[in-house]
Amino acid sequence: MFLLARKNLLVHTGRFLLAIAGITSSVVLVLLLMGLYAGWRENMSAYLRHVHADLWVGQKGASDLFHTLSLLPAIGEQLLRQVEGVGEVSSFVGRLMTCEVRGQQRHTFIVGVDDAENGAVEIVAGRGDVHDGEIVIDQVFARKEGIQLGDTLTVAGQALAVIGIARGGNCFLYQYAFVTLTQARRLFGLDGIVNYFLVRLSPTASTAEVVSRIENATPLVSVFSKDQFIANNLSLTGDNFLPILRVLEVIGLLVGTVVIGLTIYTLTVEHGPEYGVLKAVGASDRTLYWTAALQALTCGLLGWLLGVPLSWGVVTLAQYFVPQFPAASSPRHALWMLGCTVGMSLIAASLPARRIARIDPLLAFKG
Amino acid sequence: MSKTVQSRVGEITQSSVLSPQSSSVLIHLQDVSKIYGTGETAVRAVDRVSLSVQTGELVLILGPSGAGKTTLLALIGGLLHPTSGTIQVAGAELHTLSPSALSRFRLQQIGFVFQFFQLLSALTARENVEVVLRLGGSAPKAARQRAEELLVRLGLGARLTHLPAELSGGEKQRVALARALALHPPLLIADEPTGSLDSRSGEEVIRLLRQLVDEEHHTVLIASHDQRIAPVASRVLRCEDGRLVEGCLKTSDQ
Repeated sequence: MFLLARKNLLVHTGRFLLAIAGITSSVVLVLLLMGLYAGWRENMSAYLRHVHADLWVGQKGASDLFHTLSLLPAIGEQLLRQVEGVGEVSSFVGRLMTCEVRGQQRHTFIVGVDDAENGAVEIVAGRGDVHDGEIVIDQVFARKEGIQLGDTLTVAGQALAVIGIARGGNCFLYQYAFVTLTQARRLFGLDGIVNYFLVRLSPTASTAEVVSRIENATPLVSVFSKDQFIANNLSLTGDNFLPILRVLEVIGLLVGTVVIGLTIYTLTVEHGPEYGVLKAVGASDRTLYWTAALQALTCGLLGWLLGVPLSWGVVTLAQYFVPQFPAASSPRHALWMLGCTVGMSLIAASLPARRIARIDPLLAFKG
Repeated sequence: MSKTVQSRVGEITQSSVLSPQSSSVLIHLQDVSKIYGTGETAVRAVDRVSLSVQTGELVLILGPSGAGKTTLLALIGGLLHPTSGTIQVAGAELHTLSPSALSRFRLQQIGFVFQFFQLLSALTARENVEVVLRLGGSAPKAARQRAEELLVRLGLGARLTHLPAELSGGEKQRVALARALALHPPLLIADEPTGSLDSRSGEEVIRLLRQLVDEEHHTVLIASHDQRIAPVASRVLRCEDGRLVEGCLKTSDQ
């Protein structure tokens, strides 16, 4: 019945094209939202995944970089080194700071570390071996603010020369920047204080056992595995951000389903007597349901075929004009959307299918 | 048409009904009634009709509008369930068939020709015939070939790719006839096949129907008020107020 399904769709060209446009918009919207969430998650955790640490040790009650405050005495490093199973210990300080860019107040999350390996994810311009009085900024921040290598940022009254531009530090609302540990303490006024200790385990040590030993040795700290710390940082934002995106995605899917459903339903009503004729000459209800389903699938899949590349184009354009836009395009999302489109189409076909079931074949005897 | 139709009012009696066990009987109705509504508003569209039609007959049911002809055809075609009585077509007791089996039965055993042609408006003449062939399980290429053969045979070789809106009434009815014949059904049911045609096109359709009986031994059941069909019919019946009475114009034993 593909022949009939196709011909009936094409005979109403304008409506068919409108339906495709509606479904394409729905596909683009949902893919953008999915990409936004995935891109945000990817960017948010990129630096934390890059940090060479098996454990993050912070003040008791602190659990992440952005929403809870952790202040520990720097001398704690000596204590940690004595715990069995602990290999290396380094210090981490980081805070969202206001900086002045060409007279404008901007925000960036400044990180100071004493282990160069815990600096930027990847340097894309300039160099990464930062010294006092220097700063490495993220490429998104650089593009957004028009900052170039050699420019100067003023943070807490101190001028810092931009000596490197990095990638992997875009957290959507703000971007990471990297200075020396000494410089960071000066900027934050944290002499003798760190925010977190980064612990690497000895090769044979068990994570659970070392966590337990550290917590027993220093009851005023919280110890997190790397994965747990990443999850903590993602969850606080994700718990608020994700439901909103999911609601918008569901709305997008519903709009697509309604567009397909209305198109096929209208088509079914208009061609109702013809369906009656087909029933009279021997087409089964199932065959006719499939005709409606094929029409819905045709609209849905064409919308998907157009929507996927269009969403990629929109992401590219958006990132060109809004550098911090974190959306990521993924073939996995496109495949997931394909499944959704098939589901939307079949659900949308259910209403016309019910209509078809009620069509009386005796219509064939009437004019 | 020198004879006038003289109705011999009275039901076709049990004695005139052929035995359903006879191998040549294609249609057998036993005391079939169809009542619409209930109580005082009930309408008896078909009233205790018994009828047998043999293979290869062209039976014409004449009668005015509202006499119950179309309801009777719909009952025989398995499109309606009788309120009472039994209907046997091509060896199948229609009331025993499930809805899907009934659809399959109609597809394989019955070809329908309607007064208003009822072609699918978005499909060409060839595609209208192909649709039924595809429903019957034909492969696309075979369906296309068979559809073309039928349409060429019915004089529509030059109209294969025309949409119904581009065809004359006579041409549309010939396409409908090709669609009805597509799957070689033993029974053709035609409801007022000449009702929407001019006299010339109507005569052409009548000639084709008779030709189908003579050359391919189809059984054809026609409901019409067009008495021009009577001369080509094997048997003429009259339908009056839902009751089937034998018309004097022509009977099976003439």
